[in-house]
Amino acid sequence: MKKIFLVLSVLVIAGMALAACQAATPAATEAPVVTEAPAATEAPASTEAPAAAVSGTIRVGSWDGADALKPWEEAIASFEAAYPGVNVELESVPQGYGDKLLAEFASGTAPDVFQVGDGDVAKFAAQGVFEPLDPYIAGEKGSDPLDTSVFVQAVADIGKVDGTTYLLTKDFSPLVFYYNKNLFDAASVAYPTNDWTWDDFLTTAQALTVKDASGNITQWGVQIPDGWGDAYWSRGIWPIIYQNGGDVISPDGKKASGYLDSDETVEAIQWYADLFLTHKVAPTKADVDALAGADLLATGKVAMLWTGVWPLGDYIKNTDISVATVQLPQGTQRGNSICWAGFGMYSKSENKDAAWAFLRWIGADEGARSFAAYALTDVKAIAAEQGKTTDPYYSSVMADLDNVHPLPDFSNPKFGDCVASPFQAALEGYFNNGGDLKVILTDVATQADACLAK
Amino acid sequence: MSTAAVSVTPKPKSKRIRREAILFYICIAPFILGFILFDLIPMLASLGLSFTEWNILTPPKFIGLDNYVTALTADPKVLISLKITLFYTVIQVPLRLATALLLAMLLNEATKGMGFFRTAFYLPCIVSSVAIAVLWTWILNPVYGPVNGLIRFFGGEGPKWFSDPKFALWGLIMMSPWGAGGEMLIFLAGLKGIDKQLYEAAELDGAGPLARFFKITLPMLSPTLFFNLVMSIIGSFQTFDTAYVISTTRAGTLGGPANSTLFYMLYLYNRAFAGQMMGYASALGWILFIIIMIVTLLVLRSSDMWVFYESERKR
Repeated sequence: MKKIFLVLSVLVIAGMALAACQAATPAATEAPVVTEAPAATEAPASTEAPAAAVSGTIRVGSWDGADALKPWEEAIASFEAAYPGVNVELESVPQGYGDKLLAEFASGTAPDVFQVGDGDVAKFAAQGVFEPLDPYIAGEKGSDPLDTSVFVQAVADIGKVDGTTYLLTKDFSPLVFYYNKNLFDAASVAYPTNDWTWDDFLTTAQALTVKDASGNITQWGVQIPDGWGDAYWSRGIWPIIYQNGGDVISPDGKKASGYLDSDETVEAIQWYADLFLTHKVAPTKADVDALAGADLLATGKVAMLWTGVWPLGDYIKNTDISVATVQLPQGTQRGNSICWAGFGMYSKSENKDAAWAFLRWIGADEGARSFAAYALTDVKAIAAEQGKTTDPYYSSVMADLDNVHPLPDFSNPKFGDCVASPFQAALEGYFNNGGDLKVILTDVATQADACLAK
Repeated sequence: MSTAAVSVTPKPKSKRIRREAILFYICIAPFILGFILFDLIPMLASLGLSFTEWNILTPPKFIGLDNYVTALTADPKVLISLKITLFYTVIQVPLRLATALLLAMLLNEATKGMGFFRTAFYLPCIVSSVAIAVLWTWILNPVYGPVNGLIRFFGGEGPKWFSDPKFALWGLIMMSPWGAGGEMLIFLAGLKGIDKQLYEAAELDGAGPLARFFKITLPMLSPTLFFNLVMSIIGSFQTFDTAYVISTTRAGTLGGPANSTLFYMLYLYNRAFAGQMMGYASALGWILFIIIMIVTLLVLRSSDMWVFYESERKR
């Protein structure tokens, strides 16, 4: 009996997020971004009738759950209407998705089409679980071809490894800076502008940190690097390193030494840690845990928030706060990181024609419209229709896309296990026990080098 | 079956035995099948895999004893996780057994409402460990939790429990007695089996409650205690679910904060899935198997000194 509970619990509760950004998705309370309902005009990729008559059943895997399944349901409905011969079965695994996928790879039963987080792209590609999509894109398999110029190139390229296309973009997000105008007004603090600096950021955060008579903090200046209280979430911290001219791994993905322990990186991490430890303008993980998962920006506990684009739609609708967005502050330069999810085809799929038809539909055609209604899309025509580059909430988000640094996860399949995880552990150690960050990060980098070389 | 039939010819008897044998095998088949399919075969497979490097996606590669050598000599986290597991076991098992024994003795004395209390104390055992873990994150919530509320009432400020590396493991230890209902039931059965005459005789001889407990209850209960001890130790070494749920709730890290609750099984799981090192994880599993085996044998060996079997004395 205990074992059954155990198995169930492993499946049900708190899955290990394989990809860095998957950690963002369990925050299922954050409903995806909704702008205006997409006008059902012509399909952006192609308007021709399907060339290949495809049929059968395909399985589709996703870590989305609850509200995030809405675009899936819409896209599947429109696909099945356009391709009446195909039946799409959606398998939603909100917790433990990565583990389940691995087990399915081992037994050869993974879904025909599945969602993949950016952190897993290089790893999975190296292990041959993706069907290369280029022949399908070129129409060589008797499939409908795909004009890839419809995509924002830099974003679509995240689905490529060594020039081979494995994935089409589902959605993506840079780190976004939110602030609650009400709290700024109450404290008579000027709103941040797109050209603000680290110093401006710190001064503003200090001005917006409020203590009660007995010295307890009742309002923090900023919640960083995410909205769920993980102060060591590496993807949210990388932008600070980039903004100071540092990096975490060599461009060839072989060495962390000289990058993760460079003076620029150490200085950036020190600055970041000081927000919590010295200036105390940001709630620590323990502070956020103690507030039991409440949305701190929405409840007025913090004045500013640094996280992905995911909660923006909810914030816009929330009348308790008056939210606005601004570009990330700059250090010696601008810098941002990205969270990305794509759709891939299983190399052992038994119905690749139908799988491609579906992939094409959700990646570039009418189905992409369903996903675009809730998140950022890389299909240029849809993005233009949505007018996000001029939208007051989204324009700063779109502008910061120019500053996105290539994902370090792509430089080496072992990046997560060899660099990101030890970095997070070391940072947690520093937060708890202090020490010399230069020594700590040099140690992490040395061990990471050995791990990457294995 | 009549005795006459038996004495006349042995044939029906063997028939009966055979029928009983068949019935026996049918009855235990679900367990045997389950054991072979879901325990024995996976165990043998993992033994084989422990000598390989296997990332799940590409075929396993035989590497001999490398996994074992790495785990025992070159992986500091194995030692860290073993220490945590051992520390937890040393504190948690006695605490849990003492609680179970105390509850069982109270129930044994109860004259009214025994059924109710027995059910109430056993209830946590039938609740999913995940639900219990989530419940305890609330009980030990630093701001809203009743434990810190009580501390605040007396003018103190409680720790941040599961968010503080110094207290997280203690939080898990505190949870443990709550699930002692299973051991309690076994103790209760053991207590019911102690001859009341022994207590009456002792009372007549002027033995107080403490003397009765140490001179009668404990010795007579020692076989039960021994069984519970062995099972608790084994269970404690395999601690996974509560620690997994609590450390990963709200985007925490597995075994966190700062590896303070990195139980051996959590690290094994981390290597298997996050590290995609199934071969290494299998080796870790077998190392734990051997450790549990040794500890259990030590306890078994020690039993001669403190476990009292009435039947043996009579012999």
